[in-house]
Amino acid sequence: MIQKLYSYLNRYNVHLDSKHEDLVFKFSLMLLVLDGGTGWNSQILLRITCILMIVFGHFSSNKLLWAIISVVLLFFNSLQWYSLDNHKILFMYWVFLLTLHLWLNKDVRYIKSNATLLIGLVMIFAVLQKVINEFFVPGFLHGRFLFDGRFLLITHFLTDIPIEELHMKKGLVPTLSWLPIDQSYIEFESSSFLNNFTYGFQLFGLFVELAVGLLFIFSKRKSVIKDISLIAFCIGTYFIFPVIGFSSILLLLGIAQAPLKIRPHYILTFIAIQFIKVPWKEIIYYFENV
Amino acid sequence: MKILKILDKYLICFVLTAVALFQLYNSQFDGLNPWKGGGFGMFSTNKKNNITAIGYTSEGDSVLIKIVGSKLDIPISNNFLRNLKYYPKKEGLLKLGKLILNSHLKPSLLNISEGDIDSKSYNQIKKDSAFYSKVYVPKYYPNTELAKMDNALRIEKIIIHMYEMNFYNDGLKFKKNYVQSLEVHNDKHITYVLSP
Repeated sequence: MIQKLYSYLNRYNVHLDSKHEDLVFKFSLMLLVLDGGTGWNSQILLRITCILMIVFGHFSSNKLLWAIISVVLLFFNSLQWYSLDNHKILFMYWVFLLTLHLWLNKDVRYIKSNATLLIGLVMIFAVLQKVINEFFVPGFLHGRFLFDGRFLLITHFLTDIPIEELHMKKGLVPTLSWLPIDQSYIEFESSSFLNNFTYGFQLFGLFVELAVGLLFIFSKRKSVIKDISLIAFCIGTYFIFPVIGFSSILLLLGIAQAPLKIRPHYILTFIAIQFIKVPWKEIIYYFENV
Repeated sequence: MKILKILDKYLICFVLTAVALFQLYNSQFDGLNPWKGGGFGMFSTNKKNNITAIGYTSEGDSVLIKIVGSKLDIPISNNFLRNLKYYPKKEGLLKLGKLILNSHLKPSLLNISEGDIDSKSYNQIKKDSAFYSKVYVPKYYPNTELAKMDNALRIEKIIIHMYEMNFYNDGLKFKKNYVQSLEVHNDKHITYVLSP
């Protein structure tokens, strides 16, 4: 039976014309293993399928298996669409694109041009959302640094407010959320330095996002400025905002569209980005207080 | 023909754009959280939807309800609640109300100290201390005896109050503003939706 299944699947293997395509498909499968699923059900299915596709390399561009991956992603993601992180949605589009590439016998330019445009569109929509949601006025990042647990240690380093106090205030937010009292609020403490720092970073981030978006949409295909801007954005942003999933998919798209000489830089950045996981804030805090 | 060619070449990009524009509309006019739904609005706002609830027993007593989800999907699934908080549509809120009505509510003590919250709200809590001394969590019990042992009760009516929470840099306040209410009865129909 396994032999039958093997030969049946073999019929759907597609020979890839270039090493570049092979790299993109294998990289995508690896990301699917690491961060593809959104719950235990899709994670199990994707991990088994994608690990086997990587191990048995000739199946990494099997159009039937890619179609199955697309259906699995679409089904499970649609069940929790409104709580799904955006990078999972972007990744799903990318998997659809690779599946179409195989089924429609497209050449490598299809992957390159779409990857470029996808990066540009994501950045432009991110900017558009920020502009609509009054990102120009101070407050967004300042607020996050006061009640988002991921940033409290940075706030402590920048303001000298005791970390226990910051955690205590953050812990009051759930209590506030149960109370049916209009206009009720929690008041935070901060410093003017943190206010200015976060506002500056907020505007800088917006400008860089806009620049990356415009460069990817309007610059020439072989221009390396867009690649430099995306790599700088990933390194600069994601060491403060620990969202490894989004940086990984952006770098994958970067690899997919980049000319040969730039690709190693994307791969090195992908390796560097893994160090986001190092709890550097906790390490600094430990040595500060030891 | 040229349009078809472009569509063929960039179909996925068109899908992304269409979904993102649809999300933009819903996040601006229909209560969807800008962070979610495929519009790439992560890290764009601190605004979030907030759902609170008050239950009413058959004796007419009112109880404060803490709405929490459960990994075991009993009585409220984590997934359902997460989706609802990001996009609180009327059908979802109605379902939430019915899930709470059909479950027991287990009491636990609620302690709010002066300084935890603004003074006006704190005074209101002190004034209505009987109501605010306990918070009730929806819980599944295999039989009513076990529920009785936990002092868990049932309600016959629930009013879900929707708020919007946001951080205001002026005054460094994380504040909630009332949006609307929904009343759900045990005989499974909504009586009215209050306007803000």
